[in-house]
Amino acid sequence: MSFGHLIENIGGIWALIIVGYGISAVFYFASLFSERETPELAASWIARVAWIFHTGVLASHWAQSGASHPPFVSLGESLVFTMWAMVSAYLWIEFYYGAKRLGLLPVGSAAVVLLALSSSLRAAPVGVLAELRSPWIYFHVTSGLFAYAFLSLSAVFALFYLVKERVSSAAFMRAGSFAFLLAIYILFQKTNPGHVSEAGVRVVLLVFTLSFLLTAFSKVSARKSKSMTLDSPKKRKGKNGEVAGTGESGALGKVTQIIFSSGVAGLIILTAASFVGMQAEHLFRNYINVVKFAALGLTCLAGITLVSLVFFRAQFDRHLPKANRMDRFSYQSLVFGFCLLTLNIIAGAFWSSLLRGQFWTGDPKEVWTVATWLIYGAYLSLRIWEGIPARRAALISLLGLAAVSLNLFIGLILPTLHSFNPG
Amino acid sequence: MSLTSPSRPGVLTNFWRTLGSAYLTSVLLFVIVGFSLLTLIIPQELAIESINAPNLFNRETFYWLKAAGILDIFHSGWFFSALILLILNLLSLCVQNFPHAWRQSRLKYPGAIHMGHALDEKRGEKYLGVEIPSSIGRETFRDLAASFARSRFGGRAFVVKDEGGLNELQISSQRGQYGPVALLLSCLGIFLTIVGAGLDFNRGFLGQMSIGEGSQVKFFQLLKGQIRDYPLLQEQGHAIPGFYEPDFQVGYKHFVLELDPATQKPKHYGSDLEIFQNGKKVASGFAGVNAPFEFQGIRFIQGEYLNAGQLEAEIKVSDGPVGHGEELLTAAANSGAHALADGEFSVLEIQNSEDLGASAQIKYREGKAELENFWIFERHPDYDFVHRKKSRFHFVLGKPKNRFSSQIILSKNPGWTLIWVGLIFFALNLFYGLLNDHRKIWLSWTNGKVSLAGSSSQIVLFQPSFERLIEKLKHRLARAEKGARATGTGT
Repeated sequence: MSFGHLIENIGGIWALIIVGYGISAVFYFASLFSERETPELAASWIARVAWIFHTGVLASHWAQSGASHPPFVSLGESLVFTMWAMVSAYLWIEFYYGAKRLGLLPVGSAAVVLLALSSSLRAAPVGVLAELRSPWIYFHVTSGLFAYAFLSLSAVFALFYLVKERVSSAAFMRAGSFAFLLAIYILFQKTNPGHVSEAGVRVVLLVFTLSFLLTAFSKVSARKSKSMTLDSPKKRKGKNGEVAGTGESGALGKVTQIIFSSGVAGLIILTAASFVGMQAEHLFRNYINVVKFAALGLTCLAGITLVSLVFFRAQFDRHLPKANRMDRFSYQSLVFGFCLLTLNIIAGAFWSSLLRGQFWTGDPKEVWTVATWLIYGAYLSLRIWEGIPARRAALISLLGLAAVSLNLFIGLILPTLHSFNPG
Repeated sequence: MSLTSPSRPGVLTNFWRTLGSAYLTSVLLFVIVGFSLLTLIIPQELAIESINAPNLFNRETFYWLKAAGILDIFHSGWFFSALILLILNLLSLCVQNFPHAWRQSRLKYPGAIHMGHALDEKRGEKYLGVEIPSSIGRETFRDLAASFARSRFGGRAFVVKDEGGLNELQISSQRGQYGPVALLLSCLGIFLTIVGAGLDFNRGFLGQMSIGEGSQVKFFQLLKGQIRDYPLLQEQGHAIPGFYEPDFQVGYKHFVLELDPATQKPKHYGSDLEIFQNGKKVASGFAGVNAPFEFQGIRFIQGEYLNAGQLEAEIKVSDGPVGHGEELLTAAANSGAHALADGEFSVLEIQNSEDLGASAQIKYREGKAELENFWIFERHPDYDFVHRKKSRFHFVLGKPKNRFSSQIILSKNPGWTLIWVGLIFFALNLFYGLLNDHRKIWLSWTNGKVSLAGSSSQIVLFQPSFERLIEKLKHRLARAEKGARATGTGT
């Protein structure tokens, strides 16, 4: 599909929004390498302009339907709305709390997902099912989607915190990123059985295992030689002030990094190969394929970020905000997300009592949502009452992201009452 | 003089403390979450026959998993025990922390602290602290601290420790306090929710009835909960378990269905219901999707609907020639006899065919004459006038319509209001607690050394502000020292 054809297919305004977010993500990425503030400022302003257009389009679609069609009833619409919520949340945190240079993942994800949904963006909204015609949908769904956006942002900040803190637990980071990629991959496999190479999966798993073993081995060697300690980040500076790494010194560390990156690249290639294996001509015809395409895009984006983190850690470290600020952004986003998730659950229970006569139906989506709430509840309890270190908190936040991701897409994996409106 | 060693806590005290530990809460939450998530992966409540299904367990694994309660996690004893333990843990946590929280909420100022805690940042990250070398005197410090607390921190300053002998002066301040009203409202919210849930558990129920248009139903099936007010349904002298006979009957007038023109999917649907007691209509209302109809605390909720496969139609009855003394009524097959001025009729059957359209078989008796049995046709309205010229009454068929049956859900939640008021209180106070930042600072002067310590309910958010406070305090101290040197006072 040529670029011109794509523009024509998407429609001018949406193309503008997607291109805006895309360019902004590139500038955010560049700002991680630059001493100057120009790329960061450009990224931020472009994202704001694209966001204004995005808001305008959502509002006009809603108004066109006579306010009877909320802009989040179908799967495609809810993804578009979630991306809008995520960019809104990020821009607010950037503006209000001064989070700089951290927009690569939130804004980049918005570009990728909107591109994946390109064929359906211009379609006129179809009718809303009777069950979804309730004022409670506005409270329940908007609070839920904003909660997902804030909680995902919290995980993004937590990831950057771990990078900034030069967490020796690279293995944890790898485990987290691996789990995230694998979750997307499983979703992909579930929605597209028969197109996944089992041998390929085994090879990728083997590469990751090798990477973990080497990390563990290099850590043990590092401890034995007492060349560095895990709890003293100051000692981990290299000769030129560069980050020495994560307990992986010298050649062994480099080998581990290369193997890990190969694992990520392998996973991306495997996902892409499975994707190509499908009927490409049906790419934009239905939402399942759109979700696969979005999953593929997000996998690639996460993969590129992770590989960059491994190879350009020193540069990232120099240009990212301070670790305690990153921890603060992560915590603040999580608190907002948690409050919104609480609202989502309460509004959902209230609506359910009117629609089905019971507060709790035991639906998989309800179980997942409460499970997610409990995970974040445990995070806040441990953080506020027990004062757990920020590093552990960041890991719990990443764990929460897995729950949030599956929560959003659970309707595609398991039968649930929370299915999306057709269209 | 005797030396006594500090008493060690007893077994019960240790047990009570462990029961109220936040770590135990976290462990239990993760266990409950973990197993809840497992229910999404492992099929639940499987029948033994299903073990032959492909990609499922073999017989041994099935029995092993069943014995461990993994195949019905939510109903297993250990899962229930974990929930009970979590409730006890949370209650114990609340009871243990309430006195402290109550005292804290009533305090106008934070008490003195041991600065050693504050200066040791790594101790659970509960306090932040810093020691600043300074040569200012005690009285200068007193004025400076009070002014600093007011202008830079935004709180009122209180002297909390002034020990001349030890040469120590400590001044504290706080802001964003979580007051006693908020704390009480939060507790009230939890209490109301628990009471409401208890009421629902004891007195509430969920039932359903299937009912067709134009018919009445006098019983319903219990799905959840307990029923104390209504007897079991009796059939041929035997009680039928699970089915109850309330003191009212539900009549189903009409089913309303509106389709979306674009998708042909239901846009709106619901049922016109009537409630009868002792044969008299006592209430009527519309039970729509998302808009239940309520009677005697029971909500009637529109559930799924079904095309019952029957037709109903309008029957126009003319007394004499066409257009004379017409009476219009809607009737369905086997819906009973309808009285006329001199006779009666009933509809035996309504059919629909492509050629003739709708047709109805009518059973009619005029006066004391014999029963007649004949058909009328929608597409031939004059058929009856032509073929039964001698009859006083004639019939015309019109507007045939499918008859629907609906599942009506009956839900009684006596604790509904309490739960919502409780949840709203709880949520508001949760938000206030999480979004409000209760900060405290202590400024201490000990033998010429100045210390600044801080604590917050949101320590993560407080940290950057605390760093700015340190800078400002350093600046003030430097200015005060300079002033003291200039005037020849101070140390």
